[in-house]
Amino acid sequence: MTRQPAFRLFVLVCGIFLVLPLRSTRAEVDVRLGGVVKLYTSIFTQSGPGGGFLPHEAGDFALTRAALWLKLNGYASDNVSFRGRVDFIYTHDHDFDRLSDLESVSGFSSEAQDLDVYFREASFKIMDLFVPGLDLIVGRQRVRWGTSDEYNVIDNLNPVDYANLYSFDPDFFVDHIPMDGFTLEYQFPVDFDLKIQGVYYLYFRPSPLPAGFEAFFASSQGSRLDALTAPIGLPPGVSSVHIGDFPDYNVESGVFGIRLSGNLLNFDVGLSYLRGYQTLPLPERIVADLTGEVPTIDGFYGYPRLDVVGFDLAGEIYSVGIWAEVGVYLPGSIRDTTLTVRTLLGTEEESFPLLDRPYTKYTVGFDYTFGVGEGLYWNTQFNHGFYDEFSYTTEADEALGVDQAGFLGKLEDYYLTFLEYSFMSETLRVKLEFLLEVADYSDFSRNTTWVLGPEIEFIPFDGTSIRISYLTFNGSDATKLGAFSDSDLVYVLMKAFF
Amino acid sequence: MKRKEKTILSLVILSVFLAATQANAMEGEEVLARVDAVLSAPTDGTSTATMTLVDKSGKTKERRLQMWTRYYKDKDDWSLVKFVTPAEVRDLGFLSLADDKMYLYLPAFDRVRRIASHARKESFAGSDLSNDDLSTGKYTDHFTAKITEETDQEYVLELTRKPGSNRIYPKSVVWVNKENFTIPRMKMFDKGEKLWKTFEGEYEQIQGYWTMTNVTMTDVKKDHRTVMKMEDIQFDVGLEDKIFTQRYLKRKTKGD
Repeated sequence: MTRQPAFRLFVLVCGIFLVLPLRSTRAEVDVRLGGVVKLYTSIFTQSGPGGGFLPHEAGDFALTRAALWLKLNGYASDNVSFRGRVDFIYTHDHDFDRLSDLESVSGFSSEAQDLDVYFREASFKIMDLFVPGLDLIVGRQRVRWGTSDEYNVIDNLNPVDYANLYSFDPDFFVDHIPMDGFTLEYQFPVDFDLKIQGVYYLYFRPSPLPAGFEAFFASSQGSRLDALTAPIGLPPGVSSVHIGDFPDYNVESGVFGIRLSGNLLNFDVGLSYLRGYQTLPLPERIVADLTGEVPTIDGFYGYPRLDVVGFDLAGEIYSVGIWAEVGVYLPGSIRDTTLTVRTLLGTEEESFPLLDRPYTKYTVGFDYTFGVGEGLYWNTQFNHGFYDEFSYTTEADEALGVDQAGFLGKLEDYYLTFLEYSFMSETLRVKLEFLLEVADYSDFSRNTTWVLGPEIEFIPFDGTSIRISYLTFNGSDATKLGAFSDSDLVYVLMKAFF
Repeated sequence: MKRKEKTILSLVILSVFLAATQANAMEGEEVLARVDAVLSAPTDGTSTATMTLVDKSGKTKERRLQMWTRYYKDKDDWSLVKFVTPAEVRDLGFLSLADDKMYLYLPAFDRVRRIASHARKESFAGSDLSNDDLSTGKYTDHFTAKITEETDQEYVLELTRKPGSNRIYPKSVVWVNKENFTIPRMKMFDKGEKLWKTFEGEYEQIQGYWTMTNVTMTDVKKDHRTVMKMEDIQFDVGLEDKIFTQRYLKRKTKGD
C-alpha cells in the first residue's frame, strides 16, 4: 500500500474525470462517468480464537471498507468504445504502533491518506475490425468463461483474488483480478450463435493471497521439520518460505485461451482451452537441513504451467434453467516436487509428481421461478472442486501430507442452494442461502460444514441499496469453512449508484 | 320411425350447433390472427420508453429504456431492451429471440446469462410487466380465442392458454378494436381465475402502422401500476440481424 502516492493519484484521476466530459463535447464523443459509493462493514457475532480470522470478541468489527468506484465508458466512434474503472478504497486498520504515524508536516498524515487504489479496468473495443463480426478488445480486462451461476470451474483466465476470499465482501468474493492483453472475437456471419474467441494476456499474474499465508506455509513446514528433529533430540529449527521459479516475462510466457461457442439443440455450448498457470504457489522443493547447529527447512514454491480443457452448456428443460461445466485440468510441464533431507549420515532425496494428470473439476446446477407473488426464485448448484483446490498424488500426500481439506487442499464437494423473493416491486428483497461443504463422505459428520446466510436488501430510492446479511458457519475444523465455526458474522453493505 | 326421425333431427341440430361453435371459434382465431398481423406489421422498429412505477401511496419510480424490435410474420419477433436509467441498472439488457431463447446482460458482472422460460413469471425490473409481457411470441401460437361479445366498435375475446404453452396467463379477456385490430384493454387472470392484471393501451398511427404509444399495466393484487410511454418511435429503419445478438446485448448504452 502506497499511501501518499495513492492520494495524489486519486486527486489526479478525479481531475481527469472532471475534465474529460468537457473535452468529449469538443471531440463529439459519447462519454459517461458513473460509479458507486460504498460502505461495507462486518461484525463478529461470536467470540473465538480466530480460525480463519484473528482472535476476536463478539461485537468486534471484522472489516470496515469504504470505497468510491469511478467508471468511465463511452464511444470514440460507432465502432470504437472504451471503458475504465478505478476503485479508491479505504480499509480501516484499527491498530497503529507509533504516534509518529499520526504526525505530518504537510498536514496529511498517513492515517488521513490511507487509501488503496485498485486499477480495475481500462480497455477499448474495436467492432467489425477488418471484417464484419470481428471484434478486438485491448487493455486491462476480465474475460469470464463458463455458464455456471455461482462458481465456475473453467473460469481460469483471470486469477482469483484470494486476498478477499475471507473478507466476505460480496463485491470481491471470488473476484477475478484484471489482466492486460488482447481479446479477439469473431461472430460467424452464417450463424450468429457461433463464435470463436481468442485471448492473450501479456504476462502471468499470481493471485493475491490472504494475510498470514506465508506464515501458514512456514508453520506447515515447521511441523514437518519438528517431525524430523524431535525423535533424534534436535532443537526446534527455522522454517523459511521462498519463491522458486516465477514464470518468465516474455512473449512466450503469456496466458493464452481459445473458446468456441454455439447453439446445439437450443442449448448454448462452449468448448475451451486455456494455456495458463497455477495462480497459487505450489511446492517445488522442500529442503530440510539437520546438519547445522540450528536445523532449517526451506520451501521453494512456484507457479507451474496449467492447461485446462473446458466444456460448458446452458439451456432449459421443461422451463427449468440448467447449466453445467467440466474442466479437465492438465498440470503441464510440472517438475517433480523434491523433498530433500540432509543429515550427518548423508542426503536423502525423494521426487514425486505433486498433482494428478489429468484431474477434473465439474459443476452442475439449475434454477426455477415459482409462480408465487412476484416470483419465488430457486437456484441450486453442485461443485466438485473449488478454485483453490487440487488433486494431489498419493506420493505427494505421503511425503508432504497435502491431501487434506482446507485452503490449497484437496478437491471437495459443495452443495449450494438459495431462495430469493422480492417484495414491493423490488424495493425489498430477501434471500436465504445454504452451503454444504463435504470433504469426505466416509466420515460425514466430521468432514462437513454448513453455512447459512439469510440476507435482506432494501432499496428505499432508485440509486441506493442497503443490504444486511448474516453468515453462520457450523462444522468440523477438518474442512475449509469449518475454520470459521467460531466466526459467525453479520455484515452491512450500503451503496449509492450514480 | 318417429324415434328415428327424432334421432336424425338431434344429429342435425348437434351438427349445426357444432358447426356454429366452430365458426365462432374460427372467427375468434381470425380476429387474434389479425391482432398478431397488426403487431408485427412493420419490418423492424426502434423506440425509447419511459416507465413510471406507481405504488398504492402514489410514490413513483422511473426507468428509461431503449428498444429495438425485428418483426416476423411467421415466427416470434426478436427484441432487445437496454436500460438507460436509473444508474444502478444502466446497460442492463434483455434479449428475446425465437424458440424461447432469452438472455440477460448484467453490467455489474459484465456477463450475459441465458435465462430459462421460468423467468417469464418474474417482474421486469420491478415493474408490473413481467418478462412474459415483453416476450415476443404470437398470440395465436399460445392462445385459443373465443368471441364472447361483439359491439359496433369492438370484439371481446376470451383467450385460453394452449396446452404446452409456457405463457404465464392461463386466461385473458381482450378487447379488440374492430377498425384497426389493436388492443385497447385487456384483463389477465391467474390460475384460480381471479383478476390479476389489467392493461390499457393507447395507439397512434405512425408511418402508417398502428402503434402503442402509452401503456398502463395495473397489478390488481398489489394495487400497483406501471405507466409506459413510448417515444422516438421509428419503423422500417433497416435493423440488421446482428443487433439481436449477445454481442450487441453487451454494448454500452449510448446517450442519457
